[in-house]
Amino acid sequence: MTSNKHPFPSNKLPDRPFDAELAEWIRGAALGDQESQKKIYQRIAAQIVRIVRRIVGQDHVDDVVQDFFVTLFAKISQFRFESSFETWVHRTAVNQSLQHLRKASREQERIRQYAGDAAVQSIPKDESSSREDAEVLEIAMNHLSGDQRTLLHMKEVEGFGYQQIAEVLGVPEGTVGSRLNKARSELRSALTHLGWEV
Amino acid sequence: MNCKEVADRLSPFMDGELDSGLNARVSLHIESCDACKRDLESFRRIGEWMREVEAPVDTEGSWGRIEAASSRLPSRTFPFR
Repeated sequence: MTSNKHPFPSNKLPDRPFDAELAEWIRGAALGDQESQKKIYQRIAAQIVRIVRRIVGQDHVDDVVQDFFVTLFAKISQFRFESSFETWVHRTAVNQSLQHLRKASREQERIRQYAGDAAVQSIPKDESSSREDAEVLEIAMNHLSGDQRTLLHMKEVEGFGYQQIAEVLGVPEGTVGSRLNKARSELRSALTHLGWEV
Repeated sequence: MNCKEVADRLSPFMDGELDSGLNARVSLHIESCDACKRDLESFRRIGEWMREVEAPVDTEGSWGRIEAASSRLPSRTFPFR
């Protein structure tokens, strides 16, 4: 069985130039062929899970990823092969994740209005027990906006170039560098406040 | 090039997104400026750390749920020419 953990090197764009095999799967998936859908899932799932997890957090990743794939297969007939499939799916995943965050934020606000602030205060983490690197990074990342988390993840973990990041986020390519500067600086500040030396 | 101008270009410099002329000017400044060098190193460490702590992803178990949810959708007509 082929492993689908990190299925391709992070700095590679697997569908540029467009590969014939993927095009066949897309056409099949548009017809409802589940084998084609599964091939696409196996091809992109790890990347999608990583970016969704970075934006919405571990607790919500399964639901958002499932919604993403159901939506993807429902709308895949709209893909016109005029752009990178990878960029298209990332843009969809990022948008759905950010929508989820906005919805969760509105829901939390509604609860706050009815139950008072005390009811929705998160329980402070025990600093001494959360010194695992991943947890510290998670806490620091939560000081950033969803857009900033997406940006940093695409650059640092997936190895996307500025052009592709701009396409996924729908921002001018010339602003990606300054946005990354700001995100990296804010993450550094958050880590410093947590007692981390960077 | 001064520190402010370098700071504005630090991410594109680190990510290899500057043209060769600007890249050389930023590089020249950083070689002689400890503060900018520290900033660059901290950005690099953050990136390395993010890659190191990224938890592995196992997608095997989720396909069944997605397949079931997708199969409940109406079938599509062939959209390509």
